[in-house]
Amino acid sequence: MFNLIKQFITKFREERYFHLKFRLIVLNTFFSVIPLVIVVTITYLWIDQIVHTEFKNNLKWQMEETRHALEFFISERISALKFLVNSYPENYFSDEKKFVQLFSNFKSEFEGIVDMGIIDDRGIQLLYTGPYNLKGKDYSQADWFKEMFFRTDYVTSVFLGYRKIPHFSIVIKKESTSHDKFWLLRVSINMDVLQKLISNLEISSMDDVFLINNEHILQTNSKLFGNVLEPLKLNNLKIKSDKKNVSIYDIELNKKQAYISYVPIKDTPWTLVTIICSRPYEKIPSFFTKEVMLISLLSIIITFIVITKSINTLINRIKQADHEREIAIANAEHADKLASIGRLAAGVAHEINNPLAIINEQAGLMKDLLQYGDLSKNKDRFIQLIDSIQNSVTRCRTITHRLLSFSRRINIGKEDINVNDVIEEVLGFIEKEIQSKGINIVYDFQDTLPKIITDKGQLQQVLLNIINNAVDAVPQGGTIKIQTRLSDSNYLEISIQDNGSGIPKDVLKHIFEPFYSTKKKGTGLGLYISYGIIKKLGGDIHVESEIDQGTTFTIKIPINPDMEELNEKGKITDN
Amino acid sequence: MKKAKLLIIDDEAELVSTLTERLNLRGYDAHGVTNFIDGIKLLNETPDVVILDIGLQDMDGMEILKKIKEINPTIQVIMMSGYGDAERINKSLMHGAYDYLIKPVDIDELVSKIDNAKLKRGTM
Repeated sequence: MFNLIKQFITKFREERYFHLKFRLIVLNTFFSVIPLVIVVTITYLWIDQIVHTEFKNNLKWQMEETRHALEFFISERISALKFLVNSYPENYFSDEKKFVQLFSNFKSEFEGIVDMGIIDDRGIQLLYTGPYNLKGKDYSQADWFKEMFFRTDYVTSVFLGYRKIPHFSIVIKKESTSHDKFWLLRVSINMDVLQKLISNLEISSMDDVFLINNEHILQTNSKLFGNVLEPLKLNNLKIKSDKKNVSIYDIELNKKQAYISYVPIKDTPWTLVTIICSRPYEKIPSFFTKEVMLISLLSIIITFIVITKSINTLINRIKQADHEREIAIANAEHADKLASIGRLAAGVAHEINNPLAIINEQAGLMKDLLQYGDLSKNKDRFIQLIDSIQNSVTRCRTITHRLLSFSRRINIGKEDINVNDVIEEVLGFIEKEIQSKGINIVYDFQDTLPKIITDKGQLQQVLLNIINNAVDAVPQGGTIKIQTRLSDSNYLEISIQDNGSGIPKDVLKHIFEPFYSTKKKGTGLGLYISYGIIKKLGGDIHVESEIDQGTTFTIKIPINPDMEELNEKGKITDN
Repeated sequence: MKKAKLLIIDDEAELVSTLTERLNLRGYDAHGVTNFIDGIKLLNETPDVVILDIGLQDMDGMEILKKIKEINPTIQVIMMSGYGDAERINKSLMHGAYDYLIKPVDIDELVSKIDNAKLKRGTM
């Protein structure tokens, strides 16, 4: 049984240390890692932001470059054509041979030019040079022709026209000297030239770059949105062509994050659009993640190892300290027990020695009478002496039985007891001491107290301890008042009040602590043990004291305690 | 030599009466009392030896010892008690007790102590 309890306690303690160790390691690691996590997260977000900004700037720069290239390409041709119209004599634009000559010169200087034509103010192509047979074609219904009534030059959107090949035209108006007359010089350029110009933009194979016109019709082929002249289908996004600068927005394309960037091309109906799906801005963060993750993980592992090692050392120290403290308390408890036993033994010896002395003298007198007198004459005297001897034996028996009731507590844990009787029994032990000090004991017992279920021996030990303290505290001829009463339906109260010198406040708060004693020969464990016992029995103990007025100990004890709970409490200390 | 004159002070009445009778049987002039007030009266008859218990109802035996020594330092006091601790023994001897016996006492030992105490008193 003893071993089982010991095993239980050992297991309980080991678990306690394990839980403590576990908690400390987890908490310490957690709080050590938090700053690292914060720094890594902030750095990550910061770098991510930088990379995004960098990507946007780069994209913007490339868009600007391409826009300039396109604008230059168009404006250069417009200027050249204007120069032709204004500086060459009229016959170059009416004589077919000269016109062909002019076209071949112009074509060799400016790449991408497919054909050239002269259209009169009725929309009829008077002259044409190029690979198609377009002389005499009527353009009076074409949108660009209508536009030329209000403009001096014009760049058209990409269209198929008579030749059925995607191309665009640059048209220059020449006003005649005669009023309201004009003719138009028109050159056509294939769409491939635009495609080539925008392909200079450095993007990955997943990304897309194309031109659209003001009606959102594709002006070049697009990887994502179809071929030239198909309408651009881009939900939830309005491309505003009136803005002058490069715009960048993030959009969701096929349920993926992407960036769209666009910029209008000056003096043309076009807007350059770039769609970036390849996420180039994620390359650096992923590199960063791998490196930093590795370093962080390494730091966490090192932190964990260091913390585990140091906490292991700490727990072992605590374990050792606990063990040493337990040994010290056990030793002191033993010493206290020995001191109590010593005190008890002295009292008991005195109590028994007195009746023994009477027996001794009376037996001796009987022997004397046998030696010195006549037996028959002293018969009555003998009977009287034998009765007296038996009375003394009864006295001794009372004392030994009291002792037995005290020692029986080792075997009997719980029994029905009357508290008033227990107090009287305890007072019986120290009767002599009380008498020799001339102490006046005032009883204020409630007669109708119910019997309580508790450990009688332990309660006796507590009462003996507190009453002994009271006896020590009072002066010669002092008073100790012992009161019992029903506190409520569940508890009894026993109060022991002395009129001694009282306990100073700074001492009072320590009196239930182990090893605290103000007595010369005290072990400092009496009240500590008493407190432990009363708590174990499900009760409570408290003390009030006033200097020069005295001290009152009040013990509160349950009438019918929860036995299971008491057993549970008892397990740890009963051994 | 004339037998000693004795005074026995002990609160156990039966012990006092029995011991007084036994000592008288041995030729001593013994008187017994169970409290100090009665004892004081008999002290005026100057006993040679007082046999004194420590724990009395009305006064502590140690106080009585001091009083006796104040009244007449030549009176020899043999302490007799159920207590046997060194503290009480030393205190008694310091206050001038002739000897300290732990109850129960052997009558022959007591008698020899009484005789020796009487001899000591005679030399004073």
